[in-house]
Amino acid sequence: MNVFELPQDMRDLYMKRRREDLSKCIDALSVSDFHQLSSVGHKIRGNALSFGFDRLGIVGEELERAAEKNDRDRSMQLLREFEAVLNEYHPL
Amino acid sequence: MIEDDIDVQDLLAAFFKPKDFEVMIYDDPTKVLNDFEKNNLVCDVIITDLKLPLISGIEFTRRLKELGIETPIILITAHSSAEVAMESVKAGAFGFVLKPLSFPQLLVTVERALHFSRLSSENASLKAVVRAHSTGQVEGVIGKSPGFKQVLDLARRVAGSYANVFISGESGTGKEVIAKTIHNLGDRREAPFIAINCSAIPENLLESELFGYAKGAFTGASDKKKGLFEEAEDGTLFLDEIGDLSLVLQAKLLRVIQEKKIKRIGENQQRNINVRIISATHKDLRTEVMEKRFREDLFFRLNVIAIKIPPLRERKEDILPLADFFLKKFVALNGSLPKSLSKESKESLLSNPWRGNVRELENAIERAVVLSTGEVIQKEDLIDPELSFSEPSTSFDFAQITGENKLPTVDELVNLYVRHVLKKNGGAREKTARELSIDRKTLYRRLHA
Repeated sequence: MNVFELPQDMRDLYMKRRREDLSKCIDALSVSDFHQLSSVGHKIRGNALSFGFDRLGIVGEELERAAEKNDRDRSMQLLREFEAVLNEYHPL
Repeated sequence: MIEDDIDVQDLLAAFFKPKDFEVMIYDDPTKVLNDFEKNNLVCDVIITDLKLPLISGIEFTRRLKELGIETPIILITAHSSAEVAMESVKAGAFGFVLKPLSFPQLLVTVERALHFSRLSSENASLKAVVRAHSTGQVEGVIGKSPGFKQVLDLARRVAGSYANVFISGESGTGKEVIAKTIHNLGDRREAPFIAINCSAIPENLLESELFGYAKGAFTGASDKKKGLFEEAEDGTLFLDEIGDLSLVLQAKLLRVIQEKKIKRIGENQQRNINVRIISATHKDLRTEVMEKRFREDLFFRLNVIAIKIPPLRERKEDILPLADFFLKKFVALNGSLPKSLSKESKESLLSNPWRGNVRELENAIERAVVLSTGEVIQKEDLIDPELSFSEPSTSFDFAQITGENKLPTVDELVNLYVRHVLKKNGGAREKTARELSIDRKTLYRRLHA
């Protein structure tokens, strides 16, 4: 869809930063900091699709929604899915 | 670009930089506002996220517009609501692009914004040129030589009075510009400034132009018409080339100045007028008086305050500032890319005698702007082969039009002679027409035959 072919190193860097986000989210959930979770979810919803990570974008959107409802279980489930997406990505 | 998400910053920079954009990244919109306020920032387009720390993209847009910054702003947002779109437009945003970013859409929006920015900038330049021309404010009058400064100083001082002003100077020195400056600096500035060239109109027509006429006053007067004295009520009437006014009209003008009343042709009713008269001529009016071609009493009535504009060759300091002004004007009028003058072309301008004065310089720059192909105007672009800068020749070369078996027609001969006289006069068309005793239309026709 986009005329712009994203350099691979940018995609790698993007996913590396998401791994740091995942770690922050796990910490936030342990102290019930839903604001932090919502903020990360919002960010991923806004930028993942632009990097071509459509599934991650959906995870971000649902994480933002679950955190806004202070829904711990759903948030936990989405963080697992977040981790799965990251694990499936293999940098070249 | 204003974006607090480092990934989007990287993404946009990676997209735009290879396309020859210089990208500046901010994460704090208030810093951008500060930089604009301190004139530390110049850019063609701003892309900003809607959701930002401290203030939103919409609030940023509003504040930037309040500062009078017209740089187009494109908002990027993940919120695709009509309300957000409406608010963005109301705040003054150029457009907005939704996340996830569609790069074709973003590029098209940026290109449209740049086009808009260029048009706005051209529009502003044109307005400035038109303003400078139409108001003739001293700020828009170009000249820093001591001779021209004296002229401006005198114009400033006489502007507040009601005295008649007489401006002398060679053709093309800017007599009308000074007349308009006097008008604009005085109390009459809100009223009309009307200029008429007395030498350009036949005598009987000039009388009806100046005084107006009643219905049926002469054949063709199918309706009554106000004259220029009435049109200029409360303002200024500029009578250019007054030295060419016939003795009959001189007598009528003298009566108007003395009585401050006019009578339309074909009417008996006197009408009061309140008009300041500024007159001008390239002729030496004292000689005209001595030789009885101009009324002495009228001369003294008009010549209450005399302003003499020096020719351009006597104020060389003004040549380059004037050239620069005309360059900007014609670049704006022609929609060309910005141009500058090469060192050689500047030297050439400074060494030219400019017998046609400022008007000749203006024509030369206009020609160069139109004909030059690069961004720098070269000496060659300034030289019109028809009206070259060489010293004028008084001889007339028949050889160029006489072939072995062909003799020129009378028309060809006349056209060549007209070009020769125009060249001798340094391109001053009015002077040439006068010398040849033909009107300007005939001159134009002969030059383009």
